[in-house]
Amino acid sequence: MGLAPKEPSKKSYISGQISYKGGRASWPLPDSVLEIRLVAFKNYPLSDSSSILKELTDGNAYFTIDTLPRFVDKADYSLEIIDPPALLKYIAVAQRYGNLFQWRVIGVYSETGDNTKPSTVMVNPGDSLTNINIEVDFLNLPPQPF
Amino acid sequence: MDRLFINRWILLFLSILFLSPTQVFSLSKITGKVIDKSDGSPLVGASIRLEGTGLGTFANKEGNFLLKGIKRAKYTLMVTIVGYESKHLPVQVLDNDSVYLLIELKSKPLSTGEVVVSANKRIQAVQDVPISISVVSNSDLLTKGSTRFDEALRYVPGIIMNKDNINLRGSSGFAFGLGSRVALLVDGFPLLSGDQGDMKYDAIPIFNIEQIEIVKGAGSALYGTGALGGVINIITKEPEENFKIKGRLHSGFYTLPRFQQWRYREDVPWKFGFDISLTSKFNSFGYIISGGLENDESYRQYDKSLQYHLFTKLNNNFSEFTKASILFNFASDKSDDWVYWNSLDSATIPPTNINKDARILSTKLALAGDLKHIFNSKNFLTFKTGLYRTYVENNLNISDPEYRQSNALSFNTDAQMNSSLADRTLLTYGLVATFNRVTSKLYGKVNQDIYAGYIQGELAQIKDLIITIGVRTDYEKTDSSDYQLEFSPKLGLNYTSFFGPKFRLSIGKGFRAPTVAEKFASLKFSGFTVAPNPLLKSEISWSAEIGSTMDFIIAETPLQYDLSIYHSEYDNLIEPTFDNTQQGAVIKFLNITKARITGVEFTLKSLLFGFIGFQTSINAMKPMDINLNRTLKYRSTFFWYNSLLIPLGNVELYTDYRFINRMETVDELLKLQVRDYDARVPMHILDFRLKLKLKEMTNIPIVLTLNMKNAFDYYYTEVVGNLGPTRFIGLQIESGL
Repeated sequence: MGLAPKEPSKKSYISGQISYKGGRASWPLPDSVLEIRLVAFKNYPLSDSSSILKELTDGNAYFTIDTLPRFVDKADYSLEIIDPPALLKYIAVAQRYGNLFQWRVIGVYSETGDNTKPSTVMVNPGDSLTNINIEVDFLNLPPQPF
Repeated sequence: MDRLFINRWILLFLSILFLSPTQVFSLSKITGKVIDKSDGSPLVGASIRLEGTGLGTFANKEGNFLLKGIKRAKYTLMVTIVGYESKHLPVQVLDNDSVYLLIELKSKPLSTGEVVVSANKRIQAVQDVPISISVVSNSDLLTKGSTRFDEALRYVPGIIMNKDNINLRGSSGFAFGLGSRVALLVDGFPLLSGDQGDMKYDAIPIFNIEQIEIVKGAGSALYGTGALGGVINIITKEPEENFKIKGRLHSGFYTLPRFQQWRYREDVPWKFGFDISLTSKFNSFGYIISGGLENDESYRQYDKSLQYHLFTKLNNNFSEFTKASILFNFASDKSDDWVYWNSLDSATIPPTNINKDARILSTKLALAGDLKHIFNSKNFLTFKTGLYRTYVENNLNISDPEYRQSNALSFNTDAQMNSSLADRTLLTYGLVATFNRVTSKLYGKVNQDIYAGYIQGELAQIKDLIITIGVRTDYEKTDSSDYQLEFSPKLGLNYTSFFGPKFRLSIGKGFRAPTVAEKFASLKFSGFTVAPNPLLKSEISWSAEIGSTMDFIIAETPLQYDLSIYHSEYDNLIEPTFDNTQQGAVIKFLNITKARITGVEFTLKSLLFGFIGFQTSINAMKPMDINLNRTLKYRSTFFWYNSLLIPLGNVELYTDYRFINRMETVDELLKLQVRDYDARVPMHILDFRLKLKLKEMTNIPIVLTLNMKNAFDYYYTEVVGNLGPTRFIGLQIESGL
């Protein structure tokens, strides 16, 4: 009968905490931090910077719809994975510093703590994966995913 | 400045009213009687008009009529009434002549006897029009129990309502209601706002509408800017001879959604309202005074609205040849600021991060004068002038980035002459001036001036063929922007074939000058930022159509079909577009594309078994974005509307069903702002109504209507992130004394 909400038992999430090394004092100037979003990509690496937006619009990436809190020490997040099962090859914190196409990755999920080696996460229907935590170090940004 | 304008306008109107030359006529007259051909009974209320003269009357209760003050000439008398064939009769009138006519009309059950004014800016029978036109009559409005203008249009063939945009044969997508591509008029007076160029549905006096005429296809050759995809002209009622008071009370509720996630409150949300209207005539003076309100708690949280409206129409016949009317319409609306949902899972609540204290207050005021003066039986003048003021403001602090305020005054004047040059050769020509004065926090202080002249000839010397040729020139200037000049020609043919069907053909140009809002908008709302673009150019269209209509009988069942094949080419279409050259998620209105829409529209009416009314219409089209070689955004390509009426004595059962296929494409970048932006499905909407006429049973003049809208509680979206209205069950009581 037309549109319907999803049954809660079939929803899948990843959640965790983003911590900013050096606390709120470490943030860049406000005019270069227009948005902070958590993004989880199915494909990795990407071909170039413009492909980030393409991955988003093509449905190959999941992202928080609103900006996450900015200029804070840490922030919790929860992200619904709308069409599980999904293999998330690259989970990152992204900063928009300009127009709609101007994004940079500032933190990457890595089980080892090595931000050059992103970890993969498998999300199945009904999964709620916690502790997908990411540390952001504005003084030592990870390599971009392309 | 505004007051000065208003004073000048009133002065101009009164000058024309009182300085009009006194008519000098020979005193010929036409009298006669209109009767049913089969049994000779008088046809009360039949409309009798001398084509192209402005002279007309109605048959009285004996079927008799009288037309006076007619100059020596050949004329065509047009006779129409619901349920009978229309007739065109040649009449020769000599000096000081008295012509008597006995007019017999043949019964034709599916004929609505409609006369329209919008296709050619003059009264004519709907079947003589060279372009597709749909008419929503007063009885249609009563039948459907429409309390809002958008509800009244939902079953019109070729129309899809995209929230605040009317999409006529694919002309419009979704543009936040801005820049309507369909011109809207009330009694010929433009009613698009001066800043946003949009329709304010609550400003339409729905309780006082005689009929709504929808002209499909480009109509700028007569109506200028805005008539890119068509024209909607609302004809209001005329004052009645004897004092009459009528009222309507309606109330109902939205049933709670089936899904617990969508229940944002425990009890059902209610909608109620009333309308009341008084009318009468004293000698040559007549009036209608009407008012009402509607309170809608809505099926969504933070989507409430409270609307008031007041409508007054004053008519005065200074003589048989000089008539004037003044129309006053006021509407006020206080509403929540719903834009889109939080997500599909919480489709009845807005995003959690918006300010839910924001309320929008808007007022609309229209004041228009209309003067008709018949100089002689060959020439008459129609002079319309008036203003339309819209004001909108939200209750946020002026320093808040989402504070919105706009005040727009639109002055319109149209001086039109109709001349009958020779037998069946009619000329319609006139001058138009429109001044939009906008003082706005959103758009700044902006003046937009439009001057236009138009001329159109209708030639009907060849038997059964009417040829229409016309052109209009518009000059538009908005403050420091370059002026724009547009020429809009049209050609129309209407042919009544010897073997039955009537054929029509039309080609015409439409254009729409960008609105003040599209050029100068600078605002933020619900996460969107809209930036100005003063370099916007007019969008234009060329429309062509061939059509046919015929009444016929199969197995004693009367049927009527109407078929149209239409094609439109659009250039410089203005669309709200994410602008990637600017900081932030910015929307700009840009001339981005060429488009081509080709389609077919088919309507079939019947009276099954002699008493069940039935209508079905299908519209299939291919709306292509030529630049991107894909379907235009926000367009459905197939829609199918059906209506069935079963009268059972004093009870009438109505059912309507509409199917609209899933929009193929929307703006994909909305994904960044609107959760589940892509949640859309085909629409299957079923409405039921049960009407009980108590007058027939109890002699109490009351009609009760029980209605159920979206009876199956089907869930769908009309535009991105907006759940369509859920099931509504209501009761309406109408009475008149």
